[in-house]
Amino acid sequence: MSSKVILDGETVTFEGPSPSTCGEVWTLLEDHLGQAGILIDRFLVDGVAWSPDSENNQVVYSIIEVFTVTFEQNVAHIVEALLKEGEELQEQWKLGASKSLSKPWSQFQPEAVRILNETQPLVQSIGLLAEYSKQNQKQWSNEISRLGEKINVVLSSLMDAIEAGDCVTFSDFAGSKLCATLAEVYKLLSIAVLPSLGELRADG
Amino acid sequence: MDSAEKLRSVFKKRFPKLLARIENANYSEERFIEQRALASRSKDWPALLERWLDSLVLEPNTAYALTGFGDGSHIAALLDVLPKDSYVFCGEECVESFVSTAQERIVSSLLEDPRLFVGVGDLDADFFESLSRIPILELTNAQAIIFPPSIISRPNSIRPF
Repeated sequence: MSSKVILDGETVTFEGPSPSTCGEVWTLLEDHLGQAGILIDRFLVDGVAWSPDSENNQVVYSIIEVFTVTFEQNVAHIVEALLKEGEELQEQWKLGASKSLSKPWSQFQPEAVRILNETQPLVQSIGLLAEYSKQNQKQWSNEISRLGEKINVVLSSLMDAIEAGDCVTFSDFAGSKLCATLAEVYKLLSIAVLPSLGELRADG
Repeated sequence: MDSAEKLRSVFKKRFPKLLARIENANYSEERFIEQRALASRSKDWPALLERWLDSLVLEPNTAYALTGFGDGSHIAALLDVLPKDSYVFCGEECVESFVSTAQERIVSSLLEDPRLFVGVGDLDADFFESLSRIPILELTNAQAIIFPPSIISRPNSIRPF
């Protein structure tokens, strides 16, 4: 069976025999592209989105279409996704700060844990952005690092309050310090971080 | 008239069945400090009360049952925004705590609010007596609300009365 791999619209010519499984194609491309700071964005096997895992790596293919993004574009996608969910996350914390005062703690605690878990992607992304900005000497490097430390301190206090079942401290931190810190984070992402990545994306 | 006398006077007029309970309770500075300490645990108590009120949907012609008198500040805040044709019944099991706070903070004016009814002490017929003076025929709804900070040291007190 003849098979074909198309990378960003161009057919790939392999040195030697073409890889026979999707897993092999992914590994080869990921290694090769990674050296140039390029990431796989979408990987379509016979028109269907595919990603590697231990069970499907041996899948054979007719046509694989691969679309890539630069690391910077990927960072920009992450920031855009964070900003898109920002308003909802801030609203959840604001509501949590109120609800923690009108429900018995045993009823509210699972909700507190859920909001905390939903904040983790933001926290992890701030860490990634801090590292990226330091390596690339971005102007907002110090600010994102400062905010990363600040949000971790506030979340740590919130975790202590959840463990202690302390609705007063929880509401205080959720309703004031965390909301204020989140507002700072989203402001920085929208007025400094995303525009700087946008320039990169426009430059290609 | 000192604050203790004022409190007795308000109870004689509005909650006569509970008068003996507050007269027999001893003032305890420890109890007062305990209640006051609750508010000081928050970095901004007025903001916290505002957040609590934000979480409540207060409707007209409704009777609200509220557990825990605390330091009275949440009840004052609630009455500030409560529709004028709605009522609050506040239950406080610890008479000593109630009397100590009421005397120190001179909350008699709060207790004179015609929309506020209280029950103090054991959950018996006298505790609920003032409920009989709420104009039930004018009401369309009844709801229980809680303010966990006022009962934070007594988690078991969150129960329907």
